[in-house]
Order: sequence, then C-alpha cells, then structure tokens
Amino acid sequence: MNLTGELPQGATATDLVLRITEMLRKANVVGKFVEFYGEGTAALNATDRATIANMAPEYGATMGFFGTDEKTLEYFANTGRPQEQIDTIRNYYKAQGLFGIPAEGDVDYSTSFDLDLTTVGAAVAGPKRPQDRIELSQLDDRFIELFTKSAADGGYGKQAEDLEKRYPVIMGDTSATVVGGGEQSQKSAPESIHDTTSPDNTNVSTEVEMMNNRPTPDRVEVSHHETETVNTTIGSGDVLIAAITSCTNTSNPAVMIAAGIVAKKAFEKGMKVPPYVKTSLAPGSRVVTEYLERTGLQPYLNEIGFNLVGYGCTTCIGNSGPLDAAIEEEVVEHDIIAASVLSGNRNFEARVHQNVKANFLMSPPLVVAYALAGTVVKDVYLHPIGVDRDGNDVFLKDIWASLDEVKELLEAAFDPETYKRMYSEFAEKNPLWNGIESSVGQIYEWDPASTYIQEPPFFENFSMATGSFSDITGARALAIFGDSVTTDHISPAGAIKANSPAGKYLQELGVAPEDFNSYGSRRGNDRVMLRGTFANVRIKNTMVTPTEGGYTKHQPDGEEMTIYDAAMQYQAENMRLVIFGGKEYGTGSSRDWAAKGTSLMGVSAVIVESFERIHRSNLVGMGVLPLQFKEGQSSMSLGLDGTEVFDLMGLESGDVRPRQDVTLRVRRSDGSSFDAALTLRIDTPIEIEYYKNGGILPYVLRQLIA
Amino acid sequence: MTHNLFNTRQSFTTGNGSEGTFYSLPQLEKEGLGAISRLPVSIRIVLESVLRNFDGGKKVSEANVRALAGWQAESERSEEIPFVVARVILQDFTGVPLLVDLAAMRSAVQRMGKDPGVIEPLVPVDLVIDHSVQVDYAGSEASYQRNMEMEFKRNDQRYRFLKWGTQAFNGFGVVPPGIGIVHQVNLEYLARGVFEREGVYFPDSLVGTDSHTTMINGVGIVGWGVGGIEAEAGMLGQPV
Repeated sequence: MNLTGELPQGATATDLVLRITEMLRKANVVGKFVEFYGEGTAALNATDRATIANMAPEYGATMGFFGTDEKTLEYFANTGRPQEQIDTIRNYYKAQGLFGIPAEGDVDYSTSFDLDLTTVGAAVAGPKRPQDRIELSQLDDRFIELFTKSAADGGYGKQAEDLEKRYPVIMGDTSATVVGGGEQSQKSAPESIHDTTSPDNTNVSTEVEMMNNRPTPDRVEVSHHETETVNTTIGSGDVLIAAITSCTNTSNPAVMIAAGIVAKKAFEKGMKVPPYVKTSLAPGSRVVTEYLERTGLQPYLNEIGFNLVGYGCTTCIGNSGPLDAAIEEEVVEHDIIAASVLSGNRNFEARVHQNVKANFLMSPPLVVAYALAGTVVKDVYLHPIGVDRDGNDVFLKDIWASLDEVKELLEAAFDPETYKRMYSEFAEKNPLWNGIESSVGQIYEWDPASTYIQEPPFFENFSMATGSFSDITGARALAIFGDSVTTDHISPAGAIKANSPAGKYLQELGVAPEDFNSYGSRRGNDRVMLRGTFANVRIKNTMVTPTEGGYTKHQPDGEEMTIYDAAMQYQAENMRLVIFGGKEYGTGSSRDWAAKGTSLMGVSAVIVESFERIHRSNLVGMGVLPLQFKEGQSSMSLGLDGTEVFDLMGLESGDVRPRQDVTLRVRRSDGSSFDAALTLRIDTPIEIEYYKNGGILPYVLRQLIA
Repeated sequence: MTHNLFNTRQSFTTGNGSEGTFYSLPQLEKEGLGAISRLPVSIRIVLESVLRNFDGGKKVSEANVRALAGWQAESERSEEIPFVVARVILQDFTGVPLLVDLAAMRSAVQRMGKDPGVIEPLVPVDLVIDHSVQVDYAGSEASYQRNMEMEFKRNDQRYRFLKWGTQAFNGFGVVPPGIGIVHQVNLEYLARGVFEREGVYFPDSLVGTDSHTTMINGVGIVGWGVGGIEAEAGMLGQPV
C-alpha cells in the first residue's frame, strides 16, 4: 500500500487505520502480506505505524508490515533500547539491503493501492464491524438510519419514535448481583465460510477471541448502601460505555495525550460526563500513566471519570464488566439500543457487552468527547456536545486538541529512562502477585484439586524409543461428519454448558455452573478440554441423524451416547478409532485443543475429502494421521454408516513417504468388504518424523534428552 | 548447524564495532537465485529465516530457499514455506497450555531419572498476563486496585501456576498482571530488532497466540497470530 502526503489537522492515527481497514477489506487482502511503502509511509512515526499494523486482522491481512528505518530506530532509542543494539540493527539491515521504507517503484508487489493521507478525516467505525467507517459528521445520521432498518439489512428494526423515548432510572438504588462483559454463548459463535472469514466479511478469529480468550464475567455484588443514588434517564443512542482501551491506541502517545488535553479543556469549562456513561481508562503499559502524570493530564481525566481501571485488554476483548443494575434492567426491558464508544479494534454486536448493541471504534480523544456528549445521535460538528459551568454551549472544536498542543507534550512520552524503569523488576512491585503461594523449582507440583491446571497425559508412557508407522486394523468410526466441520465444531469456544460432558465433570468436582468460566480459561486442564471435544451443540454426526450436537453410536451395539463417552468406552476396549469428514475439515480459526482433543480421544486417523491447511498440520503435530479421499470419493459415496470396521493398510513398510497412497478397507457387518485408495496427508519430511515420534512434543522431547 | 549455502555466510560490523556473522540476501541475488532486492521487505525477512535454517532438507531444503528467492509478484503459489521464528509471545489465556506442556515435559523427564533442566523452550518465549482483568469497577480512584483484587481472587489457580513459570525456565518469561497489554509490551520492551545466536545475527521475528500480534509489524518485525500448536512448534524451534 502506497501512502502519500501527510495527515491533516484534526485527523489521528486512529482515523487513518479505520480508513485503511475500510479500503483493504473492500480490496480483499485476506490471507495476504500487506506492506506499506512510499513517502507518506516513511513520514509516519513508529507508533502510528504500529496502530496500522495492529488492525491487520480487521482488514483481513496476515500482516500489515512496515520496514525498518530511522523512525523505527528513533522509537527504539526513545523507549530505552541501548545505543549499541540500535546501531547493530541499522548496520544489519543496511548489510542486507533492507534498511529504509521502499519508495514507489523499488519493489515488485503483486498488487498495489494508493492512499493520500491528506484525504483522511476524523471518523469512527461501527456499529457492528470494524471496516464500516463513518465520517464523524455522519455518525448521527447513520445511527438513525440503522435504528429503523430491519435486522436483515443490518439495522435494529425499531420504530422511529422509539428513538425519542427516555426511561427514568435510579442508579445505585438496587442491591443486586450484576454481571457484565460480552456475549459468550456457544450458539452465538460466528461461522467460518472461507478460511477465517465470516459471512459478514469479518475476521472470525478476532470475534472468537472475544468469546473464548477471556473469562466469563465476574459476578459483582452491589449493595445500594455503597454508592449514592443518582436519578437520570436513558434511551437509545446513549453512550453507556466509553472506554479508552486497547493497545491499538494506548501505545500511541499522540492520541493518548490528545485525550488528556480534551479532558483538561472539558474540565476547565466545568463540563460533566452524564452519570449513565461508564468511563474507563486501561492503558497497555504503565508508561502511559507516567507520561499522563508528568504532563499533568491524568488528574483531568480522573475528574471526568476516566480513572485508571487496570493495565490490560479490558473492554477491547469484552471484559467491560457490569453496567449499573438499574440501567441494565431498563435496557433489557425496553430493548434500548445502547452504544459504546471505545478506542479498540473490534466491535461485533454484543461482544463488547452483552446488552450494548451499537459499538463504535474511535480515537481516544473522540471517546472522551462522546462520553461528554453522552449520545451518538448528535452531529458533533454542528451541535454543542455539552455545556460549561454557566450553561453555555460547548462545541467539539472548543475542547479539541490541536496537533501543536499534542506535539508540545509529546516529548514527555518518550523518556528512555522511564521505559527502563517501568520494565525493570516489575514482578517484585506487585504485592498481590508477590502474595501468591506457588510451587518453586524446576518441577511443578501439580495440584490434583485444581480444575484449571492439570498434567496432560501426552507423556504418560513416554520412552526413548521412537515409534514407527504401522497399519491400523479393526478400527471403528467415532463419528462421520459432513462438509465444513470447523475448529469450533471440534473444540467449542465460549461458555461451558451445564449438561455437556465438561459441565457435568466440573459439577462432579464441586464447581457450580456460575463458576464454570469459559472453555478458554480452562485450556490448562486437559480433562475439561477433552470432554469439550466434539461437544459443540451445532455439530452434526450422520451416524445419529437427526440428532445434533456431540453424540454418536457406540458400535457394534449401536447405543447412542455422547462422543466423549463413546471414545472412553472404546479406549477401555482398546479399540482404534477414526473420524470421517467432508470438505474443508478443520476450517475456522486455529484452535489448539481441536487437534489435542482429537488425539486424547484416541482417534488414530481423520479421513476427509479435504483439510484446512493448519488443522491438518496440527493433527500431525499431535500424532493423528490425516488422510484424504481420492477426488470424487467421500464417506457418502462409499455408503458408510458407522456400523463398519475399518483397516488402513500400506503404512507397514519402512519408508512411508509424504502424500503416498494408503488403502482403506471397509468391512461391513454383513461380512462383505471393499477397498478404497486414500492419500496420506503427511506432507513434508519433518512431518514423517513428527508422526513416528507420536507428535511434535515427544519428537522434541526425545531430541532434548538424547 | 553451520552452513554456507551459496556463500551467503558473511560478516558485517555490529553496533560495538566488532564483526558479526549473517546470512546475506544480496549474495543470493549475486548467485542468481532471483531479483532479491526487488522482493517485498517482509518476504525477504522470511527468506532470511529459510536460508539461515537450511539443514539439508530435514526441516528446510535448498528447494525451499530457491522457491522463495524466486518469488514472483504475479504468480500463484501453494507450496509451504518452513519459517522458523526468532521468538514467541503469548497471553495468559492462550499461553497456559504451552507452559502446561513444558511443565509436563519436565515431569516426564524427571520420572525417567534424567535432568529436567534440559527442558527449555528452544526460542525465547514471553507470556504477558493481560486478558484476565475486567472493568468491574470504574470511575473512581479505587477502581484500579479493586479490579485487580477481583482478578487475583478469580484466577488464583492459574496464577499460582504461571508464577511457578516465572522462575522455572530461563527461556520462558512471564510478565505478571498489572503491567500491560502483550502487544504494547512487545513494542516497548520485548522487541529487539535483531537477534544474535552463536555469533550469527538475524532479524527479530515471531508468532503470537493472539490475532493482533501483527502490531509488531509497525517496527519492522515480521510476525502474526497463530494457534496454540503452531506457537508450540515455534517455541520448540520447529517451522511454523
């Protein structure tokens, strides 16, 4: 991508990345390396580049890459890296002919796009996808338009007059247990239609991360004695969450300082954030607090409610926490289309907070501005965003931070000594962390009572002897699936259902359903994850049609049971197992437990029409044989119903080669049998070694102790 | 393994004036492998890794080097590229299983009566605990402390394990809760630009178990988000 010119007054790196996201999503760069070049790129500083690189998943690219140049080295120097290291970097890249941002014409790219930075203006993105950029002046119009549009057209299907309705709430009045955070139910998991792209043309991985790579929200007990009650009203379009969050932007001092300046000007005018707005500031580094304190801006942020809430992902991944109990009650009861404004990188519906439907990505100074405005249904250029202490109108331009004002304070953000200090001995400085009693030494003392961390059985019968290929005889089909089985079908993300094998297991251990937490949080416990394997409520095993979910028939008795129970019964019987699937088996975002769970279920081989690239490689990595039907053949064309016994032959010889043929012998219950040729989808010489060793882990282990 | 394929093992002057070894991409062009200097920068960095990790064909073959060196902007490609990364980053949700597997390897080695200390990641791994804190409290001076207390209460079992990890390995770093977000910590602290191992210098590169790992692309470092097993392969020095 060729960038020219420079950003105009009033535009931030956030505005730029939203523009790039919009452009590149349209251009379809899914799975591609995107590289930035040209004079506009060379003029960007490293933190602006990092903001743009951050959102590569949102524009769909594998990378959003910037070469190393003097700006990169300046950043390394400013953040406290030693001069000698910086000189080594410069000399190294020069010796490689790689130093500097390529100019137009220097490099042969497959395709190229131009963006003139002078055309970038202030904007937000939303309400449901990061690539849906909206010029700032259009936000109110766009919200009004979507408010009445049908859900099928991406709207909220409301009546126009509902937008005017306001509902009284008494905040802090209810004693209640409140929960917050984004939606995690398994049923809401996005589908992958092509690789990791959803039907909505968004990145499935980043949405699944917001379901699974985060805790199920804590329940917070609130008593109404704790806070003063506040009378207010709420309605659709109100900003209920305003979060300065996410590394995308908190790593960029220019936009953080701008947010602080906006807060300062607002405070000085006596402006207030409406009480229903939950304001938070969660930087990705303590350095941010250092420079916001040094520049004197943090106290102003505090005054208007943007107090520090933590150093971590927070709202950006759906850890937004609870809303006031009374507000939440009204939102649900009246189906209020509430908004969040956040400086994050994604905004899928109900993922930021389960009851906040419209989520807008924007720069930190705009987050502060919209918190003050309290609504997204306002043209912030034409109309005042609030009033000063005397009741006079205040417009956005009155409190906005100019480039010069930001530049003046920017130096404070780049003090090498601060970075060195903040990143030394950090572990010792947290008393809560120091207070954790933990095992010490080389060996972990596994706690048998833990429901989160258990020793996995990957090395249970480990010996130094490398295994070898051998034929698999007398195997049963654990399940026969159709096309497009995703990693989410194989190893579901998000909430654990109470009646699932994992849910029952946790309850047996005394864990109440409200304490289940997400599958993602229990990845360190193979016993939970094994029970989650093939437990997705949406998976369809043709052996038990029309039943959906993780069920199968144990053979030869034909008894219907969960796939987990059947696998355990077969293991007790020493039965080898295979799984059949259709096209694109294992598509979707890479999920470690998809292959690990398959392996621990005792599945020896997965036989499908085609594999998704990474899941195939993961199966080999976990010691499971991937095999592929010949073109035109499938479990359906062979008429398999799961009552058969299977042999896999041709693996006995000493030199198994990548992609060689293997024979599948199908032995029917009536005594008849037939053969079908399969392709061994072990693709490379190193994968042969992995497989012989039982997977990557034992392979490396044998090398390390040899 | 030391090799000098296509006479690419050459030297340059490091930041302290001494001589450092590197695998030269311009030399590949001199040897006629392609118009390397016109390749996209990101592809050249991957190519350097492929070239440096050439091992005669077990993990990386000469054909792998030739194929990537001969990259054509306009042609379709479907062959795998064996990319060995310089390091790995993790966050607390996706990273736990990797530490669990390392711990299990240590236990297995101990049971065999051997030295568990030989079990170390083969490339540096850093796990930043950033995904567990929730905004349960906001808008007051006490918010930060109260949220952190909730976080620690809730995550006791996982944090006890991760804390063990901070002291158990030389090559596995854990950044405790309350420090920052992995991608920002990566920019401000973890990224090195250029690595050195046994006298050989090479570009920093990584995979991370989080989609926004790409943020590090902003400072010239190749890297992207992967699943747990690819990260595990990367951690164990295997191609991803």
